[in-house]
Amino acid sequence: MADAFVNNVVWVHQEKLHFCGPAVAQMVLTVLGVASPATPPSWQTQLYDYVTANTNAKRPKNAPDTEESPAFPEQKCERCRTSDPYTCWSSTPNVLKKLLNAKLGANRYTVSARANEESATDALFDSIDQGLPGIALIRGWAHWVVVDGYQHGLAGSENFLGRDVNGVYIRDPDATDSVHLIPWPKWRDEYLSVVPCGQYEGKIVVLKNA
Amino acid sequence: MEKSTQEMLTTDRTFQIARDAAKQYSESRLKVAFTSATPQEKWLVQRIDREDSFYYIVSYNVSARETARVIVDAFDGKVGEASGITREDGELPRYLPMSDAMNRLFTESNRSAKWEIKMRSGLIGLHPVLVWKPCVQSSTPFLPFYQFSVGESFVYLRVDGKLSARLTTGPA
Repeated sequence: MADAFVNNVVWVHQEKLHFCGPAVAQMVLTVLGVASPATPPSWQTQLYDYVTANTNAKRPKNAPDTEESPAFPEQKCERCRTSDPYTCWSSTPNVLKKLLNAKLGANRYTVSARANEESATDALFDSIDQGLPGIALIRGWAHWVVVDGYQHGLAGSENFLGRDVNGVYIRDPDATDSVHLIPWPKWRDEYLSVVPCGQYEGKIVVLKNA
Repeated sequence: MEKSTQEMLTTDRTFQIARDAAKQYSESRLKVAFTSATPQEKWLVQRIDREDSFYYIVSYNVSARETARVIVDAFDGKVGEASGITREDGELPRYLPMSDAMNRLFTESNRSAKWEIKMRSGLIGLHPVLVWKPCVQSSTPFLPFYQFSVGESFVYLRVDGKLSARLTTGPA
């Protein structure tokens, strides 16, 4: 089999339900050589503190405050129709990008909003080819995962954008210490789907090399 | 064949599919997890966001260590996601067995200060198979739930022991 992947990504578990953004940031920062802080609180907590201080939105007064997405003043909340209740981000794509670039001390990551699954996946693979793990917002806007490799050029592959793709390797901060291989059709049909509302409505969002 | 009349895969057939899959994965990045690994156990999971949809999680062992898992459609045998350790001495945490699920439900609910659902021993139902749908409480089909009925409500105990009063969706 033919695999391409970024070496030495170390999986970490998200410490809280709403810490998938900080957890993927921790995985990426670690593999790119950023040292964990020497003093408490935990690195993920410190990364989340950055998120809450730099989201640059204004939380609506009637937005919900839940265990899955606790309230903070700069929180970005969206609703698909004006009659719907608000639903709030913990880590937006933009603040996650800002967080990575701030800690890396260089503009190495960018938010890429793509029109289809093939284009979004190609962007992630470009990043991996450059030695940077990609980050994908999966199942619409539900969860952040690290995409650190792909399988290609084998029997049963599907060709798109000049690549013969078999599957995608991810590190899921909500899972166990492991690497997951997702077959390409499943990745395309079940993991990647468009953001339902708001700034990125109708797009598939990934973070890739700038 | 209509799916509603279709039989689910037997254990023998499921393990044969799992053995074939392991041969392929043994030549991939997942080789540490699958080389010399043998299918050990299968867990049936019902997709509760779909109609009549079930999958097996097949676990693999190397000696006493659980090193890998794959997802196999319970009807057509199609292999889905694979998950495995990345270090030679690694081991996946074992799932909570069904025989321990009820006790764990009470232990976890007592530990949680915010738990508000009253539960009485002997008056709680346990769904006969694991359940899963994509949600904030479990992003991966490898971490399904035991589903308990408490009156007209359900509560969910993830196979790694995390307890939830509801399954929700929303932005990351």
